Amino acid sequence: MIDLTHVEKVYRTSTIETLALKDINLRINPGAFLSIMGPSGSGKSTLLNIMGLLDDPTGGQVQVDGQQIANMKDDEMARLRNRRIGFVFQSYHLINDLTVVDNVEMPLLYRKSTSAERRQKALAALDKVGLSARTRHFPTQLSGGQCQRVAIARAIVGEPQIILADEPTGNLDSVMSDEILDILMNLNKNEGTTIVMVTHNQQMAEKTERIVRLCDGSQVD
Amino acid sequence: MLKNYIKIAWKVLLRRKFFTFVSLFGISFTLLVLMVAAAVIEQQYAPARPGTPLERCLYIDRIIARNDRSAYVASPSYGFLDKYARSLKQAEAVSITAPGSTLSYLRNHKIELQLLYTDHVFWDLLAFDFLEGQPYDQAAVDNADHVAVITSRTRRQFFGDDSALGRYIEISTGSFRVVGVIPHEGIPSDRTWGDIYIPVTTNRAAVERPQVWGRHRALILAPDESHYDAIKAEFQENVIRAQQDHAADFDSIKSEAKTYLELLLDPFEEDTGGGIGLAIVVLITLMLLFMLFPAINLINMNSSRIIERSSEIGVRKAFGASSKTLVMQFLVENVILTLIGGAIAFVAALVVLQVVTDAHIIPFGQFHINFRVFSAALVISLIFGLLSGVIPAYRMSRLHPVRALKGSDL
Repeated sequence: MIDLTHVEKVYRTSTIETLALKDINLRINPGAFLSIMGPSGSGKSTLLNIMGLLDDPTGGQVQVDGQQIANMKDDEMARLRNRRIGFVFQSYHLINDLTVVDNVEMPLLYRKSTSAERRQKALAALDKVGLSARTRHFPTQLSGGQCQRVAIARAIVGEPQIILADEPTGNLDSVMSDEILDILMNLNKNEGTTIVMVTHNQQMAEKTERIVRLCDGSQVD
Repeated sequence: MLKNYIKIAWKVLLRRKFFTFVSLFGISFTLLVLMVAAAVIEQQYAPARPGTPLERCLYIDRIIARNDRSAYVASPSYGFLDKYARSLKQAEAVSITAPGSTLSYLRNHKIELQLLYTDHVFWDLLAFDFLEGQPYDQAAVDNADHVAVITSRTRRQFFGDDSALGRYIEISTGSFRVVGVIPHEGIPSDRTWGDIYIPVTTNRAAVERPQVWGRHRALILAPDESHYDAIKAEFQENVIRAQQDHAADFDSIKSEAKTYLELLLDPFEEDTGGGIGLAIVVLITLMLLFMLFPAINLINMNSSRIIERSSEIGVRKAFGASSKTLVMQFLVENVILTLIGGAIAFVAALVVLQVVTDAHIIPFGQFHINFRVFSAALVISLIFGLLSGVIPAYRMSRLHPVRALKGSDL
């Protein structure tokens, strides 16, 4: 599903060169639930962004769903992200001026669908995360846990095969965190969605199938 | 997809109310000022209503006569025009008029009226649709009859809603019988403007004045614009003849038949041909400059607005929006903004021009929207709007989604 071979990421400024990732080799099979752990600055988010085609590696190869992403055009990558990948961010990244249901519908705007289909799928996704009663609210009217549930609904509305979650519980208390993890685990178990989650939380990571640990940009186990 | 762009654009404009207000104000105010200015310029300086004979007229309204003691720069006299302009063979018709003002008393109130002395040819040139009656004819002019044509506004002032035909108007030069009424709003320009029109011969002193300068002017009707040069050349030959006729009094006499535009652009110069192109360039430059300042402001605002929305752009890219899609989205937003601004400006201009017309700030002014100016200004606004959106949107769309999400390196 996702194959990383000798992946490297270097951030360059005019004076400094920072090696964020070095020689990462990772294969994530369909249906896996994997955690990425490591201290701050170890390259966890960078790795997730490269897997999600949000950032380019400086070296190495990335394959998603059997497709080599090197030399892929912008619109091809956009299509791949739209069809195959859903994202959940630590700070939700909801559009505050759109209602909950409009936020969830957003990925469907970039593929062929009627507005009725979009609305129906968005409501179904919100139902899955238990937010059917909040569809007309705006993100600013919701709690952190509810916002993250909206973000998950947005990530799953397009029925992607992969969900990449960057510290999805980082801003939530333990009760909310458990709820979010439950939703992700159900998606993985019931719908076979591949999930890659960056987390600082050891207990949460231990609930996933596999843990990848990073330190100073290198994979340590 | 376009429906989605429009839907997104509409939501964005509604949710960013301050930005929307400032942008709309900038666009609509610029267009409004341009349209009002165009309407005033058109009203004041247009030579004639399109389609009327006056559209193909040349004018003689200045004479410069010099001798070693002095120089006379004035309007020509009736005698000069009658002798040297009336006989132009290339012209279809020549009319001689003279402006003036007069006083009248109505129910113990003093009214100042604009007077225009005309010959009978004037009415052929103007081709008015008379509301009642008809113009005075050649016989009336030859006999210096005290007859008058008045405007609908003058009729309302003096006679209310009643017919004015056969009734008399007392002015300082005598009592005049009304023979015709023309629509007040039908007067095409200041050169043909009057509250009351009377035969040029009723001012005998002016008609019989021996000097070459006086207070008259000539309107020369050409068969079409291609005859302008020939008419001008023929008149120049007559001016040379006039110089010979008055050689005892003047070393030189100069006068020219000019188009309306030439008169307006440089009335004191004898040769104005080269000035027209320059004046048009200056006018267009001023118009572009006037639009440039709000455009720069719009570009600035668009840039900061798009940077402000970098996180949204990052999210949209993460969920499948391509660079092309995002650029299109911003363009549609700007086009909608400009079109709404244009619509507001259009309605505002209609209101402002109606108010200006009703208030009679400019006497006899009838202000209308110039659709050519409106269309041109709207197209220019759209181009500026597109440019102001496309540059920052293109820069943003080129960013990696992760950078847009972080709002960095913009």
